[in-house]
Amino acid sequence: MPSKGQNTRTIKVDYLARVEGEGALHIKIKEGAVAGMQLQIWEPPRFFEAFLRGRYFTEAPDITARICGICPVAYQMSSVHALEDALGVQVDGPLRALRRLIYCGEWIESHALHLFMLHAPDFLGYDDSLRMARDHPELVKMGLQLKKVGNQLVALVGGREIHPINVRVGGFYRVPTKAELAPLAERLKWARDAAVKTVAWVGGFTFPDHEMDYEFVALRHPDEYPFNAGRLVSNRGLDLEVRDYEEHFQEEHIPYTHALHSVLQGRGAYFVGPLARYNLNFDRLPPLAQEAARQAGLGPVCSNPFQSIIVRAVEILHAVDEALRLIESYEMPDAPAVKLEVRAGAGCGCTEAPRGILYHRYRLDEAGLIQEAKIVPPTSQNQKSIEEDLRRFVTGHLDLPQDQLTWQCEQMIRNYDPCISCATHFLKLKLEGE
Amino acid sequence: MNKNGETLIIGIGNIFRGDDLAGLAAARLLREGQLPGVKVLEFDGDMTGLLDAWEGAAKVIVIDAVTSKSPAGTIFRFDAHEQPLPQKMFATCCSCHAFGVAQQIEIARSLKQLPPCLIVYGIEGQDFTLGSKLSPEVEQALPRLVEQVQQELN
Repeated sequence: MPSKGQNTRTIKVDYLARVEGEGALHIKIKEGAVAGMQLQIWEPPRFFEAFLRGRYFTEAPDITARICGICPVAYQMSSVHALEDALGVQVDGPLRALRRLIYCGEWIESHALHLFMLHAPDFLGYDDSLRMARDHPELVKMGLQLKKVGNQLVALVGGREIHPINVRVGGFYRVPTKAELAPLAERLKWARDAAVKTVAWVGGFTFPDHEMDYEFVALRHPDEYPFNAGRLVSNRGLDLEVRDYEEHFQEEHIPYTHALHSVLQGRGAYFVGPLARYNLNFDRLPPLAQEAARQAGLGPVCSNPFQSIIVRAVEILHAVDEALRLIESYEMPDAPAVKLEVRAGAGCGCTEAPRGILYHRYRLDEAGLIQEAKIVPPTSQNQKSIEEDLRRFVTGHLDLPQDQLTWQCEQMIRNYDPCISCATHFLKLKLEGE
Repeated sequence: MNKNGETLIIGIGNIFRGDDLAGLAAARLLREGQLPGVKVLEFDGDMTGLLDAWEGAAKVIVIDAVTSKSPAGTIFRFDAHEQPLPQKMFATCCSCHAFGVAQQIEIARSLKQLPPCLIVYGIEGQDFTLGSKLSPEVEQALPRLVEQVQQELN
């Protein structure tokens, strides 16, 4: 329960709703300043790296997909790219296009779920999407329909909606025909209109003032808004090949959380996800998405994480538009996958999960058995930024009534759409003074 | 899409979380019974798919594990058209998607997308530890639950 002493302040929330997974937040306020900040994540996805040891390399996409029910495609994509890197294989043409297509589906479903069901209630003053649905049934229906289009894309290319089973190192087990993809184009045309409306709708929300000088990190590709490929860049001059990731990014063990904290060596916290992608790749968005963003009041750079809801809407629009383009230009490949020759080696891959860059590295022996695996999910990379955001926000808003401060702390966390089931599962928020 | 007039049984749960498996286990037993004209579905995650799953069905029976501090294995029955579902009982403790079945059913009510007949069975669980099995009390209660659902269909 909230309480207030002469020099101390205690804010405690036992359950933070509308996030993916289980964790806790503990903030201590002493003498009018934040004395402690712990985003605690309990579930241990790190065990996956150990599960993978001794497994044949072809199993990695399906094993790692199980890390998350919201973004399994991201795990499949990062793992296949890393393993293809280890085996010296490049996947191009229609197979590459299909990978982008399934990723479009995942972005659409993940972003639509977060935007409509988890995040929008914050800006409309509802405790949850259930109360929002009573007053705005048409908007919630539109959100669920948009999500469904994403699910249908993933199901068609991936074999099923959650934890798809059709992705493999080298390509797919089966590729769709043009005729199978065609009906989806009709649904996507509806979704494109719905996404335009969504950008305009969320652009009209009122956003708290909160701009910070973040280091944004995302992939950047010469021609595309990034899904599967590109260099790792930041707004502070970082420009790396994915293979150099571990020379610059470091994971730290923190006593209070099961998820490792990622930091940029010598620089500290960084920010991954839709806001980072948008800020570093605005010029790679299609004109339709750029125009929608401008109409919604966003310039090419946005440093207010509360406005990430607009960026997610813009990314839904991009993903829908890109999926339509990919379906229209699709030609069935001769084979569903490229041929692989097993050899010893190491490789890494980094792709843009809905919540930001997801890095995988594998080392294989000559029989193709995984000797070592490393997985760095986006939420563990954002943890430090979330904590720093909260520290800054709480420090600057100690005058707010207790309930409002707590509410805005929760909103601050939801700005990141943290997938705690990836980094781990369940968020409890506890703020306390001494 | 379901055929008009079809009856649907939806079991909900996570096979890796102890008694959370109960809804799925009941659905599987009902499927083994090969009830004519009844389709059995299993849900282990994304509850937003419920609305699509029951589109067109005339009668839907949902089975899920619940927590209400009652003895393990206690069976609850709710007619969704008669009362809102108790949210706390169907809490999202085992859902990483921030939505429990009760919340999704209430959203469906707001969107006027409830099936014409929606009965929800809850079975009290006691152990939801990752990697655990069904507790004996829940396992013993399953045949009773299955029988009740079968009677419901008649």
